[in-house]
Amino acid sequence: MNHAVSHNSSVEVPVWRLGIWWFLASEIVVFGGLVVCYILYRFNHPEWGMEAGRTLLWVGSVNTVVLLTSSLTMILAHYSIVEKGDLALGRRYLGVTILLGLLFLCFKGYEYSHEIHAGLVPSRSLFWGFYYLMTGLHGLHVIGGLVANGVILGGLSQGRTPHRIESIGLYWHFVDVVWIFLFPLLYLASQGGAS
Amino acid sequence: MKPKILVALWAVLLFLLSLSLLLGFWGNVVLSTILIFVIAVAKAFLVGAYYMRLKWEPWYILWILLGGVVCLFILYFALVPDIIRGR
Repeated sequence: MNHAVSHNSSVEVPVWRLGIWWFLASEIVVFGGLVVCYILYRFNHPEWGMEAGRTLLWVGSVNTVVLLTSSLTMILAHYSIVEKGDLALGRRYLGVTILLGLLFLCFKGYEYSHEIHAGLVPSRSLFWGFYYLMTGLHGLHVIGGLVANGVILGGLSQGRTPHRIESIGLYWHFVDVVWIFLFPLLYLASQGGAS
Repeated sequence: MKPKILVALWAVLLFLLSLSLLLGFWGNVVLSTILIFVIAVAKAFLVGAYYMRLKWEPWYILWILLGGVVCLFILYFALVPDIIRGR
């Protein structure tokens, strides 16, 4: 794979990669729409700072580290398979990515359980409605990514060369980017003074 | 990109995360919130440019993604009358 393509070049992009970028652009609108609504409501509801202060910051932080690390193992899997042609190493990296994705979901499950026990349910306030909707939708994307990664790992085990790993890699990194914004919105931006 | 650079980038991302965590406990809420989101944008830029390899994609891929962002701005201004002014 030639990564030395100039940024302004008119080099053709394969149709499958173009398709993934179009799909990700549509995902920007889906997640972005929720984020835009959340921010607009947040301006009108200063008391959301107190609510956001009740989320489990340490779980959110650990999950951020987990997702960032899974992005690293995903790109290393891509590098090993596509650029080095080392399927065994790529399979190991992909396996670690899947384990990290599962770990993310376990932490999220623990967090949900803790919050529901504390009565922090979607019907409590609009903040918690947004919280469950945004993190739930993100969690569904993580599950989708895990399924796709599992399918590709299965294909690798049968010795098939998967150029599809690049597609699922782009998707996985996008899910990471979404979390990069959800984390400060829902967990972090309120901790200082619960404005 | 070489694995060493990818791992170094991961370390930078974790450093930025720790920085935003520290800012979250800073007393100046307005400034810390702005800085936290500036850091989030920087992290997203690094992931997009290097892990998603946007840096090496042709320019029209960026335009496809910007199309999604433009839709968001339209949505934002369409919702302002209802959410901000409509209460």
